[in-house]
Amino acid sequence: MSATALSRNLFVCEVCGQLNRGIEGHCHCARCNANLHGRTPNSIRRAWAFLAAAVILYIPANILPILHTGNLFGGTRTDTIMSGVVHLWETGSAGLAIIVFVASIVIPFAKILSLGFLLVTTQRRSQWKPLLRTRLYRATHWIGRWSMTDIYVGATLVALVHLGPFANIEPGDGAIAFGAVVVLTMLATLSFDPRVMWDAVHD
Amino acid sequence: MTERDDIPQAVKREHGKRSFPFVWIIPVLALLVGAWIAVKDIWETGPTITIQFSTAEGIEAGKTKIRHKAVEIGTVKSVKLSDDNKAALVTAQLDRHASNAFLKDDARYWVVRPRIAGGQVSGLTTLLAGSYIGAEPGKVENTRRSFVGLETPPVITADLPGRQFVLKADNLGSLDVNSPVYYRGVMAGRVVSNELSRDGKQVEVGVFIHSPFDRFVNAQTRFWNESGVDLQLDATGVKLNTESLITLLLGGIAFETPGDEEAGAPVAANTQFALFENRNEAFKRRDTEIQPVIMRFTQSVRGLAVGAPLDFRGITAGEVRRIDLDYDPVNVRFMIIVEANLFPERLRSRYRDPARRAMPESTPAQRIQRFVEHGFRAQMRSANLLTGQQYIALEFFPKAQKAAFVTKDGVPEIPTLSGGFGELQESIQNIASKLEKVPFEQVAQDLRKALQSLDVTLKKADTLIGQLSSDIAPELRATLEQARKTLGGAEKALGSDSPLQGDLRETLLEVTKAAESVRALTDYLERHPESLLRGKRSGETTK
Repeated sequence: MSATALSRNLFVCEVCGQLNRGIEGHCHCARCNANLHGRTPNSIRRAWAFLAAAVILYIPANILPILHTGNLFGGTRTDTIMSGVVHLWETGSAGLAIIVFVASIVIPFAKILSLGFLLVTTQRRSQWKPLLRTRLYRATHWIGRWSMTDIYVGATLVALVHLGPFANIEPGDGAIAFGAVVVLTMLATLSFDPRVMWDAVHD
Repeated sequence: MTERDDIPQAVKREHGKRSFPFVWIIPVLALLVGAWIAVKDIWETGPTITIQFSTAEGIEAGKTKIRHKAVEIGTVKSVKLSDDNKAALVTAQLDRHASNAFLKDDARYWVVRPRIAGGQVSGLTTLLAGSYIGAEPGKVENTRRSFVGLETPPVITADLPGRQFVLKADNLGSLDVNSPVYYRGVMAGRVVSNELSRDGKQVEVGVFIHSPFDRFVNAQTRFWNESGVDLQLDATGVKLNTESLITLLLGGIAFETPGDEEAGAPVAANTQFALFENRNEAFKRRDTEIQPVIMRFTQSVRGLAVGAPLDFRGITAGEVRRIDLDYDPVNVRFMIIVEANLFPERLRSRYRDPARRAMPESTPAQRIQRFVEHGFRAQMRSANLLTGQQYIALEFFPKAQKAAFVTKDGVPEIPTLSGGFGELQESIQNIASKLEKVPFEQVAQDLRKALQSLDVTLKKADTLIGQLSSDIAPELRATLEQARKTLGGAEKALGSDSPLQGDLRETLLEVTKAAESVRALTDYLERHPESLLRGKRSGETTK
């Protein structure tokens, strides 16, 4: 059993770095007056809330169109993420299709799955391979920003291609949902406190 | 675990932790948003319909739109073959905002493709943007979910003011959907459909007449085929009518309501009319009373066609219906039996006045019998020497031979007279036979005798003339010479150098001089009247 700050009843101030000896109940830093927490409060619960919201919005994000494109001859096209991938693949841009598929479909899904796995195991105080799970958490945290690729591309196109009747691209409801999914999974990752995972290990 | 003094004790916080987990508002919000999107999506998704087309050319699942007035009202979801592989079944999702009118029984769907028909080019935008399905809402009560798509776009949309009529024709001719319909040369509508009637004997042409013109269509209206060129060759000669160039290319229909008819109330939509072949046909008097008659001709009927007129003093009183050959075994003769229809109305204007119609008259057959007794005969005549057209003339020939009046199955027979070319032939034959009877040899002998006697006479005359020249001529010559001498004497006496002439000239000169002296004397006396008493003064000269 290794020593942690919490096991020695010590709190490190997350603002000024001052160590404080803990007392009963809620307390704040003797130096900077910031609230002191041994662990991020309600981290599992908050992570669950964000993850739930992300899962709910993941459905419309994939069903609703994310882009409406129109051109001079009245041909309009509305694409969901998946139809866009299929369209790219069919028109010969296989590499681009793979990138979009991975960034927009695989990564958010993987994030949701891994977060769910981490939350479930942590809540059950599982002692299964904490080191591996910590790596998984780090990977989830790091990869989060990359799933915004689709939104970046969409936003750029909408801003650039605004040629009135000749060609026009407008974002669909799916884009908003998709963006929300990405942000919510990032928030869930941030809310999750990996130290809680390790607490179970040293019980 | 050692206590460190340099680590300060944390300060106790006054208020406790919030008990309510506000963070759960976020998934609840997400759930609400998701639910709202789902509800909205379900709400906006309209009914699914199936449309059957003969071909799904240009229709793509997920892309092809259904449009009405260029507004998208739905999207094609899938395209597949029907169970019997004979048609393409297009399943489409209508939008919620598309009204129920698109589900009515008489809603129409068709594929809009680039099309050139009836002088119009349509659907050009689909060349680049792809085909779409055009939709036209219906009006009836009943709704349905499966439709049969039209092969060609409807020419007339439901909200266009006007009415549709059905024309029945024997032959479609050059008419097509979109062919124009003219009223007095103004385009008044279009052909919207053409299909064979159920019994296969006629063509039913649907025409749509636009709003201001449809009120000119009443029960008396005549429609006729305005095919580009109308060349007629009949007993009255050659006629060539051409309409506009468009109708030349596409065909067309014209209609008119006869001016002398009462302006009837406009008829209901989808009323059936006959489509006549041309204007003349359309405006022929519709004869309600038809009296069939037959005529027997012995002469050739070459040039007499079915439909040839029966002419009574220039008025067409009927037309030939049928021409048949009949053999009379008793007399071994061939007869040509011409059946014809007489239109008695045309010969009596009072027929048009029903009040005066109630005459105690006999049946038409009996009337014809009376006519025949008074010499009513039919005669074939040549209408046009150039083309050899023949017509039948009806006329009274009071001197005609009495003919028996026959009716066969109630059809009266009008006795015929040969005439026209036939008559000419007969009279030439008569002349020939008379000429044959002339005793040409005897005439020649007589003639020779006469010539011989003439020869004798001439000889006698010759001798007489010889006598004249030998006896009388010398005498005559002497007399003439004597006369010439007498005339020569007279000429000498009257010649300019004759003494008589010279004497006369001198005498006249003398008289002139005497007259001058007298004038001088009188002049002098006028100026000097006293000289009569005193005598002429010396030194004065008479002037």
